[in-house]
Amino acid sequence: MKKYRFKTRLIVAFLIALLAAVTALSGCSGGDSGDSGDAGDTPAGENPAEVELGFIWPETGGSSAIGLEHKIGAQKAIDEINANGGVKSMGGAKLVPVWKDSESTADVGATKVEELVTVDNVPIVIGCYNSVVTLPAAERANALQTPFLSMGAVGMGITNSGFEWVFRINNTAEYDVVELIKGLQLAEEEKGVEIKTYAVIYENTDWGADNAEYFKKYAEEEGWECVVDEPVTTPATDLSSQVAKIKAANPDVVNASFYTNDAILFADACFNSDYQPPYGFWSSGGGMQAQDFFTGVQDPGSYEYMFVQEDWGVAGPYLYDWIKELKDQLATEGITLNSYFAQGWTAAYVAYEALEAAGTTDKEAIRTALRDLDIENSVDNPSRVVLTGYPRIKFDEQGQNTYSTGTICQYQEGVAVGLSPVSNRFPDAEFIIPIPNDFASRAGNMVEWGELGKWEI
Amino acid sequence: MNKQDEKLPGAAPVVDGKKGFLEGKLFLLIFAVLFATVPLGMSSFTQHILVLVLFYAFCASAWNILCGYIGVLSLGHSALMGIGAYTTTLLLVHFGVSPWIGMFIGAFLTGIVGVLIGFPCFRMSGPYFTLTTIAFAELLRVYLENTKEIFGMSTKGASGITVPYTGDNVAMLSFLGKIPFYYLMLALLVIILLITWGIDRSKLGYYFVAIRSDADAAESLGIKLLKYKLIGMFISAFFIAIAGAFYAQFFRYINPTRIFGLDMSIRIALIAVVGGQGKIFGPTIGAVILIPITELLSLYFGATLPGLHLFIYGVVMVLVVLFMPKGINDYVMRLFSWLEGLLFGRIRKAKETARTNS
Repeated sequence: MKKYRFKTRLIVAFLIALLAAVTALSGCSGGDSGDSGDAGDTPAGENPAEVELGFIWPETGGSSAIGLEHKIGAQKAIDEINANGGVKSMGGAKLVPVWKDSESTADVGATKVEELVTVDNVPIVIGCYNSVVTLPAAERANALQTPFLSMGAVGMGITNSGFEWVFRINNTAEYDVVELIKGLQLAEEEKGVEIKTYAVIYENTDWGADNAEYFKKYAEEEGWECVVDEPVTTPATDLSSQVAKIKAANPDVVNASFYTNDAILFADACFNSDYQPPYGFWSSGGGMQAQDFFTGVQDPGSYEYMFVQEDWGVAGPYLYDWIKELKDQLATEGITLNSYFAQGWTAAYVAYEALEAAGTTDKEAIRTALRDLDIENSVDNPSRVVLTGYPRIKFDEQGQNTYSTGTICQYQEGVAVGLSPVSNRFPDAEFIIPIPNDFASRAGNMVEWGELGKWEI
Repeated sequence: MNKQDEKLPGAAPVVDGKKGFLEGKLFLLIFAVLFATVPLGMSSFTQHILVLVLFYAFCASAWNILCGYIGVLSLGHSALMGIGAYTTTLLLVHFGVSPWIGMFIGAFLTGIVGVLIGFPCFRMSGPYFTLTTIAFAELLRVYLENTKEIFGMSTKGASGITVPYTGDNVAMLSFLGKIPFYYLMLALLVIILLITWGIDRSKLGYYFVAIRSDADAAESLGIKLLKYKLIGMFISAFFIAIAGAFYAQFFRYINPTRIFGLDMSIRIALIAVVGGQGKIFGPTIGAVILIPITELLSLYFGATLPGLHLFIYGVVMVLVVLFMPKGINDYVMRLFSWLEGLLFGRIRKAKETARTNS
């Protein structure tokens, strides 16, 4: 009797689940009908109450810590835009974010674009940080003729594949490396040192491999010799042997490219091996910019003196009053202003500017608005759009913002101190090179991550 | 049999009379009509999900031929899919070979690779075989992530390859809409189900099942274990490579991390196991249930809390495996059989009553 009832219950439960699935899936098909007031193209003369913006960030998977910071940044920007009256050219329509998780996986990103465009009917899609996710997602948005704002991904294919609906706000992998090389040249010049050898260690993803490739290309032009070229299969479990190999080769500089988890492993392995190259670790960012990296390493001393290319103007709080105010406001909520927050913020604001200029949710009009978009940013004429600190946002024919620049920072006393370009330099800051051999005592001189120590305004 | 058992799903009411033409095929026909018409009028996203359902049903069915019928657990099928995808795409990008031809070249090549891998691997059993298949897939993934070109053809390493879009072009297996992909995948699924059905009823199928049930007993009866396992491997690899070629054309992007990754292998195996391995329709039932659940959970819970949809998916999987260890297939089949029994029993009863009355 019991057995029978149990099986019957199972079957009933299964049928209910099947029914729910079928009902919900058929509900999805209603997306085309544009039944919600905020979806689809706005007819001329009518303003929607809300405009949905589609966001795809890695909320789970290997880059989740980074994606969640993008999400907070975008949400804060949307809150501010709505508090200031929404999209004025559309009668004050409020922006509503629609969040999707890419799971840090290539085909999931493309599926999410499909969902955002055909189910949620969003007029613009923004994302996706990881290059392997962004490339197929951008391709799909392009095929669906929907404006796609790429933020965070640096893979070259995103803007050189002939996509007509894709616009990238941030820099490419090549720009990142060029900034690192310029920073190294500046350090050589200011500190009177000469770099002769280098090592590259990188995770074997498109981002890591691209970074290493460009670093080797530009280093070769400088006449530096590569003594170790070490790709690492991700996710790694231990990087001690790779660190030992680099230590034995004794390069002047090490270029490291890892996402958060592997970056922590690498920093820990270096610290435990008492290893530091004489002119430092130089990284294009990735995991070495994420909050989880700084709070996850065994000892904060492992990131002291490290050089990181930050994808935003770190000197912003010193140069711009509004960024200082925002930083203070966020601090009261326990949020730290960093490059990923800034990227999320700027991406949401660029989408808003395009909607404001288009005055409609018509995709073609938004694309035209993005093509014509030209936002300048300087200390004399600051723009709240450009929290990332770029001097300008203007897309070229391929949809690439050629003015996206970051800042080369060095961790000094636990603070990311802006050094290169000189225009983004912290007051009175200078390179610390060669790196002091003070592993045992350095942590004692460092402030908590997120604090500004002696650079506090 | 007690009274309660008589009422169990699957125990059709026993009524005398001839079987009608539709009896035993009713639900097959209903689903055939449903599958043939369901994407029409749906949104592009729903069509996208439906293509994924068919795609994973096809992949799991290909996996099922080797693993379900012969009873070995491969978690390296993504590598075979990857070889198919890369062969087709490289032939297309570098030589302009149509994916229709490329997919069969890739499938034959993958079949041969499968046999070459199977030759040493099938000498191992249980977890050792599984571990070897994982190692093989990881080996290929790491190799491709580190390799910029193969035989002079650029593979772009970890960055992956974008498949060029050639407009709506049947000859190049390139479509903007989802409908052509849907019907292509449906046709492929029907083909693999027919082949599985054929195997299931053939001597080959009996050999496969005999190996699964008791390899030593099968061998003692004269069944050459290695030979039949290699045959299973060739068929399975051939079809999973075709799935790889389809994946490349559908997503127009392939990278080693995803297509050679362990995630993909596990997903395929999970669908087949949950649906019912060693059964003709098991993998299809698994895909029809699991893929929409994944997407719906993401749709409704994705924005609530990061990762919540994946957590719920995990809980659902655990419950299914705990309470339906032989797969959902048996329950679905018994339900259909019960419903058919009810329906046709009534029809026969009505006919009989009419005959008696007249």
